[in-house]
Amino acid sequence: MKGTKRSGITTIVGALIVIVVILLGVAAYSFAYPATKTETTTVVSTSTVSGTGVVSTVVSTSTVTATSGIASAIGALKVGIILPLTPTDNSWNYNANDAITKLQKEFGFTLQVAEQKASGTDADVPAQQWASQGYNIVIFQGGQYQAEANTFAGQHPAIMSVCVDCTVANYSNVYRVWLDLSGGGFVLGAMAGMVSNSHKFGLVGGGDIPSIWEGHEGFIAGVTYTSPTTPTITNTFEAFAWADISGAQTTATNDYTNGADVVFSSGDGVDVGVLGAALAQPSSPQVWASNVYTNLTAILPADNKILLGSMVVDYYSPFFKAMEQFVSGNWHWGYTKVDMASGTISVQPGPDLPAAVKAAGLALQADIVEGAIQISFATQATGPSAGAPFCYVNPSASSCADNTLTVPSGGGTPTGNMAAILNYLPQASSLP
Amino acid sequence: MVVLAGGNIEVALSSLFLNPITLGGGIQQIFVRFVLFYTMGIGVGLALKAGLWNIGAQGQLLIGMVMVFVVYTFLASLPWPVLYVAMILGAALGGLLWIAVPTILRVKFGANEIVVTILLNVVAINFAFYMLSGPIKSSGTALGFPHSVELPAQFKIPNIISGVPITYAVPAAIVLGIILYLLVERTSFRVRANTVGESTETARYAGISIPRVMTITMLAAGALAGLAGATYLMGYRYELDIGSFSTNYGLVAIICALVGRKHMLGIGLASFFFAYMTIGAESMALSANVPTSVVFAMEGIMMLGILLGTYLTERRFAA
Repeated sequence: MKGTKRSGITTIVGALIVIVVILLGVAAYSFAYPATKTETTTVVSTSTVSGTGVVSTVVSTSTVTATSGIASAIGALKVGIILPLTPTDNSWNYNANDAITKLQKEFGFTLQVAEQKASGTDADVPAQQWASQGYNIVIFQGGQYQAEANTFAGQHPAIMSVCVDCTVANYSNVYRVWLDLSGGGFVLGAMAGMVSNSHKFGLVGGGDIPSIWEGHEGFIAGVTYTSPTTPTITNTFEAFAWADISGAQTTATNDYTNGADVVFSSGDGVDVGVLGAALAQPSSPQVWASNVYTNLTAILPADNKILLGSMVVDYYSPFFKAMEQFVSGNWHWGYTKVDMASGTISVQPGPDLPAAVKAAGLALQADIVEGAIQISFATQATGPSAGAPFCYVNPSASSCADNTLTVPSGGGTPTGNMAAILNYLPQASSLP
Repeated sequence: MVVLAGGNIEVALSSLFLNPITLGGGIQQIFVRFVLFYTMGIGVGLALKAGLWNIGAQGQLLIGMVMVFVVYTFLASLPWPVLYVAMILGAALGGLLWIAVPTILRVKFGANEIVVTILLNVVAINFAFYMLSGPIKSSGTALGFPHSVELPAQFKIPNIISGVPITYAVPAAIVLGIILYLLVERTSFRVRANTVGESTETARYAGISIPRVMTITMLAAGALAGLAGATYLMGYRYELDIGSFSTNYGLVAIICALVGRKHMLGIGLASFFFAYMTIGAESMALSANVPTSVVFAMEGIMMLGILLGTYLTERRFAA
């Protein structure tokens, strides 16, 4: 033992130095003889929210109109969709799979579904396989695939790379689907404020990203609008733990234990955990929970007794729009926004809610769809964060304090809560 | 299992074995995974020799990736070659520091390193998220999911042959494995580590410094996992975002270390095998219309089969 001249630490450090030298050498070669350079441009666009039509009932079946030429062209497409979890999650993955499957049955295009691709690298395998098999459209179902969607688009310029909940497009063949959950959050919050007895509320999010943040802020604004007293709100974000059912259940259980009687959830495994926590509570006092993406009343009626409402996201329309634009040849730098004003997000009140609360939720939703109420957020005007929600970037700004919404007597623009700009709100007491 | 799941067995076998090398991007994916599995696996194997389970390779990998951008962001004024080296060393240092906590707790206080390294995986994700949300976040993309900037071309590990997506990280990892083989397997260090791993009492009787061996193997394991993070970012992904958080490469590296019998070269073979088979299995799920859960089950059974075969072979020779 003593005869050895090398200590373990020396050997390891030596090995690391060798590897660094090798990498440095090849990098120097690369630097001296650079490969073909690719210019990329980041384009972040903005869209205008506009409402049309009146919604008298919610969660209607989406319909699209396609000419026979368009329908036939869509039918000839080869489409792949990449899901982070399984379609049995009754949430994000279920909804996307359900929409694309309905479209496939309607138009007859070739469809493959790759599920349980948790990381971006995992998503690249099916995407590349489809590319080599002549697929036309690859849908990356989640912002965690944003880097892959862009890299893939650069490698395959003839393929449309649809990226859901993504904002960055470095190539013109990246088609973005933006989510804005603020309207749905607001309606759910307004119903929560009416139904709550303790006036304590919890929010459990799967990650502090703009779309989730907007849903939370919308809920807080809704609660503040209808709650008869100053609400107590506990807002929790987990670090991208959408699959963390037990973590969400623990957080929601703590909220209920501390007196909250409504907990808002932001989707996927978080929904499962929050709904599970609500179902585990004693029947008295009554507690409520919400979910995002799917109409839980339709697919999981066993949860009805604690269901405040479902924020239903319609992927059928944006997926169809992407396909329609692809076959029309007018799809470069394309994007579509999914929000309540455009009718692609709706709230389905829980069936066991008091009738007045359900009616109030539907009335507010109709106002948003009609454009009478426009929910949006003050945005950064300049600088590197231009276009981002101001209070998302500056959460500690005094103007971003929650729970300070004041509605002028007789309606008008509320003041106090600058997180959400609500152009018109009827007096809460005037709601059905 | 494929037949029971309703899949076509011929298509399944063809996809499993041929698609990884015939379909676009397959070869690149194989070697990206090979480098990750191998670089982390030899670290895990080294710690296993000393009887220590580094279940936290995934966290150390993530910290290594974060450190690449920490160095790139905060030492940007350094000239290119110095910064390039600093990014790689920073990744290794990050992994080393991350594993230093369970190492100290294990060596000084006897804390179970399995529990501590697992817990630190969760901390690593939250730390990486914090860093990605602020200090190393790309300033031009505040509206979207937080992510870093993309590394400029001079900081990317280049391909060996232009047009073939296999980078110099592959031979670098192989050379690293050979060096470790020579320095660990062919010196007395292997004996010391194995002695500590099999019996601390025997090691103590033999005059071996147990804390020293444990510290060296654990810190090396952390540094190697961090280094794997550098090869992943600088050789393949080029930017850090939340899509990098949910991988299970650290766990597969543990399997490679076990299947490779903690041997530096054996781990290499196991790493290539698992890199190839994971791509084949994922391709099979699509081509043969087999649920991904069946593929995961097949991978698990494959691993059990290999471990069982190794065990039976050893028993036979022992008898």
